[in-house]
Formats: sequence, C-alpha cells, structure tokens
Amino acid sequence: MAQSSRSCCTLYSPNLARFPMHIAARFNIICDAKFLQKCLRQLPNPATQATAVQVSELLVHDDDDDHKYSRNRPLAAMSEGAGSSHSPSKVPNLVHLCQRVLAANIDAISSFGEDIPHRLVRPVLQGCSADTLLRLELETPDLMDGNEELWRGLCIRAYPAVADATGSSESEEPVSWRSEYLHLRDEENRRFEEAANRIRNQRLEAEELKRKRQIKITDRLPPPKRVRHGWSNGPAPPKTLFEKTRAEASKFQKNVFNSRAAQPPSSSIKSTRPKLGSSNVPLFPPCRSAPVAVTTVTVRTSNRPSHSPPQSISKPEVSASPLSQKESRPPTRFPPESSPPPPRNAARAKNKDPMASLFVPKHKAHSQLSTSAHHLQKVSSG
Amino acid sequence: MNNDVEMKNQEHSNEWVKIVSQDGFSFVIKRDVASQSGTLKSMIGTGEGFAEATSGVCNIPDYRGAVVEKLAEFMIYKKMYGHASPPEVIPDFQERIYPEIALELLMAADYLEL
Repeated sequence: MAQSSRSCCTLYSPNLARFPMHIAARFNIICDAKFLQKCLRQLPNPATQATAVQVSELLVHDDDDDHKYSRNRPLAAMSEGAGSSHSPSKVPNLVHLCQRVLAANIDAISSFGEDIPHRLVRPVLQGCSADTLLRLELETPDLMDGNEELWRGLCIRAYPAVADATGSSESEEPVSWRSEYLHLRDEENRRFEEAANRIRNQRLEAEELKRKRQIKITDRLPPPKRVRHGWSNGPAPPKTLFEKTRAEASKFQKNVFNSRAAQPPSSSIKSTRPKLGSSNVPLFPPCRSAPVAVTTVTVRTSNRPSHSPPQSISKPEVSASPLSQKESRPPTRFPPESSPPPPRNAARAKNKDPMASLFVPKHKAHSQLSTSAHHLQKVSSG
Repeated sequence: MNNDVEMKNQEHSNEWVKIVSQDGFSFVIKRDVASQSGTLKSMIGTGEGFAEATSGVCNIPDYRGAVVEKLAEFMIYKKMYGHASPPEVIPDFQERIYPEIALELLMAADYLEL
C-alpha cells in the first residue's frame, strides 16, 4: 500500500530516512496523516515539500502489486527525470548502468547463467546482432522464450522486404520470427554464392582468352619472311638451318675474299687465287672439328687475311698446300697478305676463338664504304 | 515522543551497519548510506524487528565480496551526489563498473533496489 510511497520518500527527501516509522509503512502498515505531517516538518527545502505533497497523494492510492515492480516504476521515473525542477537524484539507477555496461561488452558474454530474469536481460539484448543472439540462446535456452520481439526487429531490419510482405496480410506473419530470420539468411547466402561463382567463371574465361593472345616462349623458329632479292629462281623452298648457314657462309666468304682481292696481291700465288676465289670454290678446313664443318664451305680464321697478321699466315699456308693437292678440288686459300690488313683487323686477330667473329660483317651495317659487289666486279674484269 | 527519543538513541548508537558478503567479506558503512538501498533499509530498520535491526549486520548471501564492495561504493556515490544541484558536475559511475562483475552486479542491484 504505502510501499511506493516509502520509496518516493526515500528518493525525494532523504531526510525522511531518519524516521523509522515510515519504514514500517513499507510492510502494509497504514501510515496516517500524523506520520506525514512529521515528515513534512522535517523538510526544510520548499522544493522537497512539494514532492511530499506528491507522496501524500500516493498514500491515498493503495498499490498492492508486486512491490518490486511498483517500486521500480517510480524509481525509474525518478532517475530519468533528471531535468525536472524538483531536482530529484541525478544519480542513475545501478541497474541501468549495469545494463549499459553489459550491452557494451555483449560480445564478451559467454552466458547469462540460469537465474537471471528475462526482464533484466532484455535491454542488454536489444542492441546485439543476430549472431550474438543465437549464440546466447544456445548457451541459455531459457532465454529463448522472451526473444520473439527481438527476432522480429532483427528480421525486419535485415530484410525489409519481409516487413512489406507481412504488413500486407497479418495472417502470413510467421510463427517464429527466429526461424524466419534463419531461413532468409540462408537464402541470401546461397544467392551470394551463386553470384560469386558466376563472376568467377566469367573472369576465368576472360583470362583464358587473354592467354591465347599472349606471347609464348617456344623453341621453334617461325618461317622466314624475307624474300631474297635478285634470285632468278624466285622464292626458294624453305631452307633448313643447315642450308641457311651454308648460304650465309658462302656469301660471307665471297665478301671477305673479294675485299682482299681488291688489295694489291704480293705474291704470285695470290694472283692465281682470285680466279679460283671468284668461282666460289669452297675452302677446305685442315681442322675438321670446326663447328661449321661443311665440306664445301669453311673459313679458316688462321688463314683469313683480315684477321691474322702476316707472319702467322705463312705457316698455315705451307701446311695447307700439301693438303690442297690431295683434295680433288683445288683449295681456295686466302692469299697471305704481306701488306697488313687495316689496323683495325689486327686488333681482331688477337681473338683466340676462331668462330666467335665468324659472321661479323667486315663493314658496319649501312656503311658507305665500298661494298663487296664492287670488288667482285673488279676482280672478274681483271 | 518517547518512541522518538528511543529511536533517536538507537539510531545514534547504531550509526554504522555491517554488510557481509557470501564469502565472508564485511563492509562497515553508515546507516544512512546503507539506506540508499531499499532492501537494506528495510532490513536494518528498527521498526520491524528484523534481526538485522538489532544487530546491525546484514547478510547478503548470494553475492561475493567483489560485487558487494562495488555496491557499497555505489551507495556512497549515490548519497554524495543524490541531491546535487545542477551546476555541480556528477562524475560518471559507469566507467567504474568492471565488466567482469557487471552481470552479478546487475542481479545484486536488482535485489537491493539500487
């Protein structure tokens, strides 16, 4: 009856706490006006006197509810009414404070335990995510009963489409919002996965296409594109490496030989040579182990006039001559030059590796110096 | 009147009350501080003849010392700033609640009506 009044008294006018009698009022004992007057006398503050009037009003109304709830209600009202002119206690409720702390640390909560009443926990659960709610329900199955409203809120927030569907016809409202939520979530996950797969496949296909057009490293040579000018036969059939090398070597030999022939011959041997040289007779290598060991075309660097000093040439020449007689075809030797080749060739003579500069052209590419063609013509005429 | 005098005397002699927790920790606080809690107030009140009223000792068997300590702290806090005028800044109590005890504190606060 006067339970709520007592709590009001406590909060609004702590001075009253000193009076034991009103405590008794808490336990269903009628408190009379006398007591109230006593209380009022103790209140020095006019503001609190005003509240005491409120108290008296409450005294009139009997409230036999569960005293805890009735007490809580005024308490709550009072603590939230911090801005009122009556200046009630601005100190917030410890219950509320604890709920706020718990809500802030909801992820750290593994279980609520068995004893806690649902009304205390509900504010804590209001702000949490669906996964957390699921987890906590698993831990404390008792909590599931009161969570329907929470699930409804979660469902509508996550999938607004459902709200429209259920709003249209009340009968369609699912029995359990919880299962509805789980069902919708599974569907969404499935849709996402399908979309992801689609995109992945598309990307792979695009990559495959790109790869086809990329440069690939291979050992095979592409077919020769360049058509040789001046050949009366027209485009020859594709040459093998063997034949290509042969052709190039013979051409090179021709160039080198003819350039040498352009210089004044020092010996009689030389004079005869050009004739043989112009016929494009191949050389005979004394050393058969040369990499380009072709019977018809070989260039012995030791005998090459442009690459060897005069003194070194004389020796191979001597050895070559007996050989030449053995062979059926007259060997073509580069005539040893008494006159040293241009200085720059002397430098190259120091090259130990005979094959390294095998295909180095005499002149630079696109050089304006006299070409081999001119030499050729000179020799043939002379 | 006589009653009042008696009460006052008793009040004066019993200025302090002791609150004992589950694991044997006891906290001695002033009566008016303890009266911030509705439950405690009724327990130590002399009008009803509870045992606690005469002995001045309250047992709270459900909660351990750490929790009861925080409860006592809150009661003092509430007494200090309970009727603070607006210009005065009230410090925040929420940050003084350890998360580890928050759950037990919630239940205790509900029990004690704090």
